[in-house]
Amino acid sequence: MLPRPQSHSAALGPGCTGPSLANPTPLGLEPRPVRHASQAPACGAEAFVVDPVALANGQPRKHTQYPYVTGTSVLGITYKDGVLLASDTLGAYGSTKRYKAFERLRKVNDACVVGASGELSDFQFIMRLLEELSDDDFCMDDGHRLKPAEVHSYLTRVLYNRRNKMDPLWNSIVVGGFYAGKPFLGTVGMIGTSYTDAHLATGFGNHLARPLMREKHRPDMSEEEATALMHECLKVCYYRDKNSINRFQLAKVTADGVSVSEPFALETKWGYKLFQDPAANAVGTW
Amino acid sequence: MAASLPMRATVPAAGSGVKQHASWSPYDDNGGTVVAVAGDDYCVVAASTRMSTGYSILTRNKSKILTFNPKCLIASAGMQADMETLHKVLHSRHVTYQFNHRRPMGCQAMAQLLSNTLYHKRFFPYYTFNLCAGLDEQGRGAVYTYDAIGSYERVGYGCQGSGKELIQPVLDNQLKAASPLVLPAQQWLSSLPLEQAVDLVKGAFVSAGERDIYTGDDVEILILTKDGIRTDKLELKRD
Amino acid sequence: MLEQHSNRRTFPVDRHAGLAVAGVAADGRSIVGRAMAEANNYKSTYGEPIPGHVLAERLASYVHLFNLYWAYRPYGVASLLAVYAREGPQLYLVEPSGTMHRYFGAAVGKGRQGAKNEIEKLKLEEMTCREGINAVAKILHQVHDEEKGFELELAWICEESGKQFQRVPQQLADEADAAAKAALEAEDMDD
Repeated sequence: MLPRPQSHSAALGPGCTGPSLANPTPLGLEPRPVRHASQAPACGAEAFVVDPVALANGQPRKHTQYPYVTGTSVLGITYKDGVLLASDTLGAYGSTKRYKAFERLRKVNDACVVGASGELSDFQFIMRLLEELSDDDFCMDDGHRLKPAEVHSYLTRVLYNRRNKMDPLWNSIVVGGFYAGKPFLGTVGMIGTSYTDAHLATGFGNHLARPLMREKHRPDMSEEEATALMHECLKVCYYRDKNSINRFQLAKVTADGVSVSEPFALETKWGYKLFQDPAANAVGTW
Repeated sequence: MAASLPMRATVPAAGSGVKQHASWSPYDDNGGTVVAVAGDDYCVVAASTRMSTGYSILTRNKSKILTFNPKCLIASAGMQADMETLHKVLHSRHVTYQFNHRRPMGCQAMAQLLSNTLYHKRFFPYYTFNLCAGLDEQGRGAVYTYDAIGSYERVGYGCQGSGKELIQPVLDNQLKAASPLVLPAQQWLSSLPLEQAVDLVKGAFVSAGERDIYTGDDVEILILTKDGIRTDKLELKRD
Repeated sequence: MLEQHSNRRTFPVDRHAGLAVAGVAADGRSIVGRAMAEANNYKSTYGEPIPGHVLAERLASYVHLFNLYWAYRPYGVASLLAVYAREGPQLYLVEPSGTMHRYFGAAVGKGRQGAKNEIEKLKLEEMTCREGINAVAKILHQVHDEEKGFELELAWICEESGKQFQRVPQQLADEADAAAKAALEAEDMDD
């Protein structure tokens, strides 16, 4: 049988490569490698084999130990009739601004968006999982879609499963959605730490933007107020976070659906005296 | 960060073991404190709702208590992701137990199940510190206290999590448990009236919140009696 | 007594592709499952929707396999595959023998002969999708027994549906149904 998407193995769990048990083709049509029954797990998964890499250099196999291309903070707030998510569009290779138009906020379906910081290739992998799920939903043709809370829970399981394999997906993800008249805002970390709150931020945002949110956020904010707060938070993050650029996107989820804005820049002010002559009080620097 | 990327011409000699990164850890401590006190006909369970990592607060409102039925619940501190997973596992085990037995799981059964569940991950443990609490067959309060790998013991009161060093001595002092060495075995249930026990727990949390940065925000308090579960809330300092 | 929509004959297999099957219903669902898997697999390999001819070829070779072994019986369905991808709208007919052809108009099932006759009379190049709906409804009414009721199931993939598989909106479907009945009655009167 044509393998179903490997990343949704029914036998091993979401986000894991492996066989699916759904709807196999008659056995005779499938040339299979001869295998002793004792080697084959009952669930149909591949039997364990010695990893060649482990034999080659006498070291245990190593998985992702640090990220390569990264995105910085994602911010999210709830307001009266929806949720706002925001992030910049930078993919940084170390401290190099490598990809300047990487869209880190993505629509999942009409009720849900996700935004990711951390390793961007891992985020693309995660988006593929979500797209496969929503394509399956489309083909089911029963009108059901993943709810934001379900997307959040699913991602929690994916990231947690991968940390259990010591092969983490290096992301902090924010899930924003609107369902049954209520806004939803949740986040997942790379070891599966998850929670929901009225306002959220990943990475530096947790230090820079969240104090502002704690001070100014109200659940009954209007869209204008919420957008203004978001702009302020983005600006603070941009001023202080070296790995960010002045090119942002804002995603909005309301009862009317999802919209992800075109990239925009915020007006910044660098005309402070100390900025103009940063070496004034530090002789010998440039 | 830049130094970590493979851009440098010189490569450290094999085996020199130059560590360029804090190595990734699958574990994190999200803090939080849980307390349970068993009385003659009640059980008080309380848990702080702050969730932190390092010096940052992640959220101020995360419940650490999973209620299975009016006579049995568990409260867990430690790593939130493991806690969530453990709670999911136990919840589904409780649901299948009810299908098979046509009644909710008792506290003693849940205590053993929790121990087994933790021990099954003996070599990659759930980083959680649990209390299983409720009312036993006779309607008396029951508290079971655990370590991360499933050793457990029934006690009259218990405390786990980041504030346990601060709270446990207070409980020891106030509830004066008889030594388990005394023969014949002494009653180790608290003889305090319910309201005093609740006040004691609240007082203990206020003190812990004063000194432990991982204990704060709110405390959710569940009071189990034969009439069901009553909830209460205590607000701590949010600093 | 059958509940409405409980015996579907048209199925989405991807955002841009749908399958209409005639014959053994269970075989139909199985082939739909296969088509979904193929579409899914293609997308995860190449990152774009599967082109119509690829999907049709893959389905054809799949059903063809079931003609080759003594232990298996051939598929009991003929299926119409509709795809709207980069190449524009395409219609394929996949038969149990493993043949697959591309058509401008095709019909499968019991009344295919009559239906094909009617399709030949249409000016397909000049037709809009909405007109197509009416024509299809009329043909289906023509080839079905008048006494024996049937459920009209309409789905489309066109500009109007955003090039996605979609059930024709109920109101449009009802209108097409009514128009078809009226047209047929008018023709009967003429005779």
